[in-house]
Parts: sequence; C-alpha cells; structure tokens
Amino acid sequence: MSQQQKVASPEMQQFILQQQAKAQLQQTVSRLTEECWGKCMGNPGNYMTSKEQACMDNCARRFLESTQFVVKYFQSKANQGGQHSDF
Amino acid sequence: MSSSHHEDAQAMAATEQAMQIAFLQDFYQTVRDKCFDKCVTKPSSSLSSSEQQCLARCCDRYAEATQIVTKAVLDMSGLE
Repeated sequence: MSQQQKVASPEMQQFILQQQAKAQLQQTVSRLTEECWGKCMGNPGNYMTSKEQACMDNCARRFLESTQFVVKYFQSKANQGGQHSDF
Repeated sequence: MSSSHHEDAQAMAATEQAMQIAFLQDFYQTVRDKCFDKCVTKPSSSLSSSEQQCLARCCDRYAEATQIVTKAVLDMSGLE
C-alpha cells in the first residue's frame, strides 16, 4: 500500500515562510514596545510629547543595535582564541 | 493527486485569521497590563470615570507607541 505523501505546494511553502516572518516581526515589535513603554512613557496624556516620541524611537533603535552588539562581541571573543570560551 | 488549490486557499485564510486573533488577544492583554498599572493605582469598588478616561488615553498612547516602534524596526531591518 503506497503512502501518499502530501507535500506543501510552493505557494503554501511561501505562505508559511511569510507568516513566520510576519509573526517574528510582530513579536519583536510587541516586546520592544513593552520594554520602551516602561522606559519612556509617563502618565498617559491626550497626546505623546515629542520627548516621549523621540524616546520610543531611540529606544527601539538602540535595543536592536544592542542585539547586534552582543552577537558581535561574543563572536569576536570566540575568534580571539576559543580557549576562553566557557560554554 | 494534488492537494487542491482550493484546500490550500482555505488553509491559508484560516491560518491568517487564527494568527490575527492570537495577535490581537496578546495585544489587548499587554495594553491591559500596562494601562492598569498606570491608571488604576488605587483600586476601589468600581472603575471611576477618571480611571476610564485614563485607560482610554493609555490605549491610544500605546497604539501610537506601537506605531513608532514598528516604523523603527522596519527602518532598521531595511524593510521600509
């Protein structure tokens, strides 16, 4: 008895990849907004002050830069001589 | 036999809808958490009108904050 294997069509595969990318983006935005809300926002007024706006924008960008920084930092440590890597 | 185009389209639509619902639920809960913290500092026997007004403002501000972060993230990933 032959097992009929169902393989996702190329269209479906692309859809899956798109949805994964979308979900990851939403998760990043969601987490960043939470993080930066705590750092930037005072009591909710009728509008965001320009200071709050700038803070939110800066916070998001610096957070992403920090991610790159951390990765690069450990990579450069690994390249310098792996005998010091503890894990 | 191909998994029919129609079945695929149905599956995709259902998936997108489920994801949207899940995202919204998560969003509402987050806004609820943050705005409760900011607005309901002394819980009483009901939500006062000033607490409700604060919650409404907070929802608006949080949505605005989300937009700012979204723009920044898209910009930083070279997608905008």
